[in-house]
Amino acid sequence: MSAENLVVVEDLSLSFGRHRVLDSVGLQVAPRTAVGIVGESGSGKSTLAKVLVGTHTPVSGNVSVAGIDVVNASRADRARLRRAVQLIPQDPYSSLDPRRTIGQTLAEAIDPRHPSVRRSRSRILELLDQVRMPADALARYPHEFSGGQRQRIAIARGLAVNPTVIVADEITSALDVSVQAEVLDLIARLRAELQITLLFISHNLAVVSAVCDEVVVMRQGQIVERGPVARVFGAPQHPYTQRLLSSAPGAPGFTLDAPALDAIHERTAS
Amino acid sequence: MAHTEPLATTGRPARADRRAGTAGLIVGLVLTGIMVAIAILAPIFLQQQADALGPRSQPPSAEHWLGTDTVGHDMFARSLVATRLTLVMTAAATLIAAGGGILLGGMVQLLPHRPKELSLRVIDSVVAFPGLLLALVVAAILGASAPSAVLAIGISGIPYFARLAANLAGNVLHREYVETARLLGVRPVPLLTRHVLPNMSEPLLVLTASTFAQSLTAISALSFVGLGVQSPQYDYGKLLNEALPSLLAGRAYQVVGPAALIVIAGVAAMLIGDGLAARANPRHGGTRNRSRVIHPTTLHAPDDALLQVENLVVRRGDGLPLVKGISFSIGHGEMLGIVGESGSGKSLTAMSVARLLPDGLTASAARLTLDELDLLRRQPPGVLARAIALVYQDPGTTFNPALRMGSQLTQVLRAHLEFGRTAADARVRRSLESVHISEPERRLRQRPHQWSGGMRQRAMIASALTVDPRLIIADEPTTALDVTVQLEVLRELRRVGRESGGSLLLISHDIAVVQALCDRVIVMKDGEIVEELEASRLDLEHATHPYTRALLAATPRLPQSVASPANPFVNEGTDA
Repeated sequence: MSAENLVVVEDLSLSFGRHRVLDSVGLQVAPRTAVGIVGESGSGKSTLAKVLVGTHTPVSGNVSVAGIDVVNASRADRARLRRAVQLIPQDPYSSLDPRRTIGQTLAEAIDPRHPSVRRSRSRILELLDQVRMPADALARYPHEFSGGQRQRIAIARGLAVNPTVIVADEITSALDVSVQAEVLDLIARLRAELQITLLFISHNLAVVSAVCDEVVVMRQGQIVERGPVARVFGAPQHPYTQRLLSSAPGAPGFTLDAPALDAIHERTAS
Repeated sequence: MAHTEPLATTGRPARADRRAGTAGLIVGLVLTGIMVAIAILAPIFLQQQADALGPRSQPPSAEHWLGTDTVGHDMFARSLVATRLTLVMTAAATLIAAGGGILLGGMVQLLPHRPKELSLRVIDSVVAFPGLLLALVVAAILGASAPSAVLAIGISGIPYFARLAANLAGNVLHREYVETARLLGVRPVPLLTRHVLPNMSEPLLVLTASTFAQSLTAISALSFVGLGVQSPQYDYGKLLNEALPSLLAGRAYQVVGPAALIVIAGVAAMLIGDGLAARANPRHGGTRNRSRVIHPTTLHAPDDALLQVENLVVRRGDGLPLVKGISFSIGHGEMLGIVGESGSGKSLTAMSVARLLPDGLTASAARLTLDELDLLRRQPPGVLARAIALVYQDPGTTFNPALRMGSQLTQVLRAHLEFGRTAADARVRRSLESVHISEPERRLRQRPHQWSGGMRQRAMIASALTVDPRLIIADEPTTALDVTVQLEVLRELRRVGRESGGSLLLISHDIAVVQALCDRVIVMKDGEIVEELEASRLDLEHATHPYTRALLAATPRLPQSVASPANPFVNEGTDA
């Protein structure tokens, strides 16, 4: 187990029934880096996130996060894992309990066993301040906030336990572009302030290139290419990466006129 | 802006609902308060009067307000005194039903998959068994007494609560906030009390209230047929039972007291249930007040434009304008894009043109024409179906999963264009081939789930094309698709536009998509058009409106050094 890497995944495979969702995945993430995981639906990127936070157990392979063995975790390990890694889910509308105030939601994240808004008040206000939310949000309910604000609250909840690793699963794909920009700014600022290691899962290549240092390209449960963002997006080696990059409207090389569908399929098959 | 026009305000549905809920709750609480007071006080002050014997079978008088029964009891006092026993029995039965049902329903959800499904089916079939009949069986087994009536009615109510609780818990347990709380290390019991139960409370409260009302009548019915309360005790049902000979003898007044009290108690319970349900939800509350001012615009469109929209206003039921007087046109063969964020009114604009606004919204315009077709007038459906074709956002939900693709794709042709079955099939096959769907014969016999998202979306475009529409309206046609599939769909839209010469109205939140496909772009914000540009000029250099510029600046772009634009597949073959 490598001492310097915070996240180490070796030869990870996972199946749902007969369907192999992750296939010999390997991944190393150094402290304080932001790694983007890109891919299309069915590529296994969200499943990988769930393995890292301990909700899916792999069929085979080794996974360690912040020195904790995720696959063979004991009860105590699981408790440590919960404080070491936090998942920020995609949909800010379903990730906050509509019946609980923001204060109650954050208090629970701070102390899951005995939550108390009164006792945790100063920490809650600190968290709200970190995500640039007003202090009076504390006593309000999720429905009073916009999607972007809710996502910031979800991020604040993720920060509550001072995690070393944050896994963000498509956190901007439900948001409008101006709100997305806000959330991306926030993520960049938090990375700098809190020295967080970030795994940023997204289908949006442009967003990943704006946020991450390194990128991993996944397809059908396998990692097809990885490297620094500038290298992978600037000079993609794998045909699938090239196809992904040139498919995004506005990307260089994008055209609606050129090669017929069948030609593309043939060229990227193999 | 020429002038502003303040709008008349009408009632606000959300507020009105809440007020009605609150009023009902107050009435219900007052009635319940009265009933509870009667239940507590009547046996203390009226017991002797209720047990005293006077003249028999008297009609109502100043002395006996509701008359006397066949033995000579005062019916008014007796009805009031009976309230305590009736309410206590009803409350106990409701408690058994709710407590047992919620516990059972919750526990079923914690079972592994197969036992859970089996248990749910068993509960379903017990629900189908008439409750009162079940109660009769239980009462017959346990013997006729007040406790056995309570137990019988309580047990017969359990399956209803169990089924509702199981369904609600199944739904809430899979919400992301429950999953997140579990990940944070919240223990199972607090998880239930903090997150699961509160989010199940509304339907359960309503069911509790209606169960209370039903238990009241059911217990009264059991007592009425002699299976409940036995002499010398009496509840409403027992009183009705004793009044039966008088009723048959034409002295109907003897049933008035217990009957009226049953109705009042039942209504009070229902009102409280509805009121509490409305209150329990924090989402009920003030609506936001937005600007109610609209700025009409006029159109300076070429007269030969295909679609001409002038001063289009879309209002909500309460008069709030969501699209505030916009004007635009689409030329023959032109591809127009409308971009904007959620709430900008872009989809409502498109749906107004297609005359498919959701219920509760109304559109008005100075002009809304497609060539010579006046879209403001009511058109026979066939005419509209031929002139305008729609491509929706989500290819997953547009098709009926139970029907074969063939019958769905040929529907418009057969319904509106009077195509025969064979002719329609041939036409659809051709158009599927034109969007590169291989083996259309076989594919048409399949059902939607056997097609991929990209294929369904291409099929939707194909079916839109079968009628040779003059205008295709595509509302976020690629938003639900992966980027490589999006490319295929955009190419298809571009190609058919070029080949058929039809016009396109593309709605999207994605500037890059609109820019790639369209000739001209309209930027909308808060129901107004803020800028109109040639697609090629939609960049920070040419856009002038601050909102357009902010949108452009907020859109992340890929680094501009990707591969070689001339041939994106230049590195092909060199695997990583």
